[in-house]
Amino acid sequence: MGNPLTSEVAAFRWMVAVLVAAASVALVAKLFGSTAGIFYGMFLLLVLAGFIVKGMIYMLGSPDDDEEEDDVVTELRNDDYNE
Amino acid sequence: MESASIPVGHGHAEDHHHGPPEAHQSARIDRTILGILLFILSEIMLFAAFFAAYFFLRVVANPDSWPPEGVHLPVLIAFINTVVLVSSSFTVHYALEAIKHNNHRGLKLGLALTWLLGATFLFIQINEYIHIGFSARDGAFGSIFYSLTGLHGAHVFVGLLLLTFANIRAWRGHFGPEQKNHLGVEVPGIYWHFVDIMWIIVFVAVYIV
Repeated sequence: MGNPLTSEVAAFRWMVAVLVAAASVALVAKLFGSTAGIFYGMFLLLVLAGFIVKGMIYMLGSPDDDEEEDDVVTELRNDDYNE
Repeated sequence: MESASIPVGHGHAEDHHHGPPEAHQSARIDRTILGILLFILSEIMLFAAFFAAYFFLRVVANPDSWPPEGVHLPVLIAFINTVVLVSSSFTVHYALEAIKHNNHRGLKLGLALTWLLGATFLFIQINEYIHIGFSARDGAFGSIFYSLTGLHGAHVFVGLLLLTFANIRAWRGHFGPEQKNHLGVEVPGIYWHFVDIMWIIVFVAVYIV
């Protein structure tokens, strides 16, 4: 659906997706009771949190990437020193 | 030894840079995007703390009496308010699409409608507070109800301020079809959708389930 932090269109799509998910929570609560609705809603919130964490890792990169970049820079500096 | 021939780190920048060194920044993410990311994340954590308190009170502390006896939430009015706020997301989206197609009239109409719908939402919410029949002092339910909806209302107020500036700038003809020329609509639009998403979650959690 795209990154909602960089595009209004993506943010709008996320809003519509949350609206549909909320309607499903309301439906579950109506059919199976409030408790089922709460736990289903909490499950969907966890899924949303997963997307947020995944998006953060994609945007910021992982610490492993930094270490790899540091290694490359160190190698370049060593080459420079040896010359 | 010609060490300057290999571009390592910020060597070239340092050659011509005077004054204090520039702050360290990631090569992967732009500073402005990082700022928005951190801002939205802090907002999500703020709302998450309030939701954690709400679900704790509801599921763990008071599982059998929620909402307390004698408390009747105006679900229909809250539903109408939800429709009003969700509609405002469509109008702000319309405004941005309009300016992307160089339609200044559509931009002004979309932003004005968004502002009016947002103000209507706040007005209805304040009216609901006046007539709801319990206060924030009336037990845990009252406290968490006013905290959650009030926190969201404060965000709507901030969104309205941003939209006020966007409206003024639209009437002054500050915006254009290129992306760099309508960031003043896009950024408040993103914030407005975030506020909408939060309300949908608040509405379902507090009024529906």
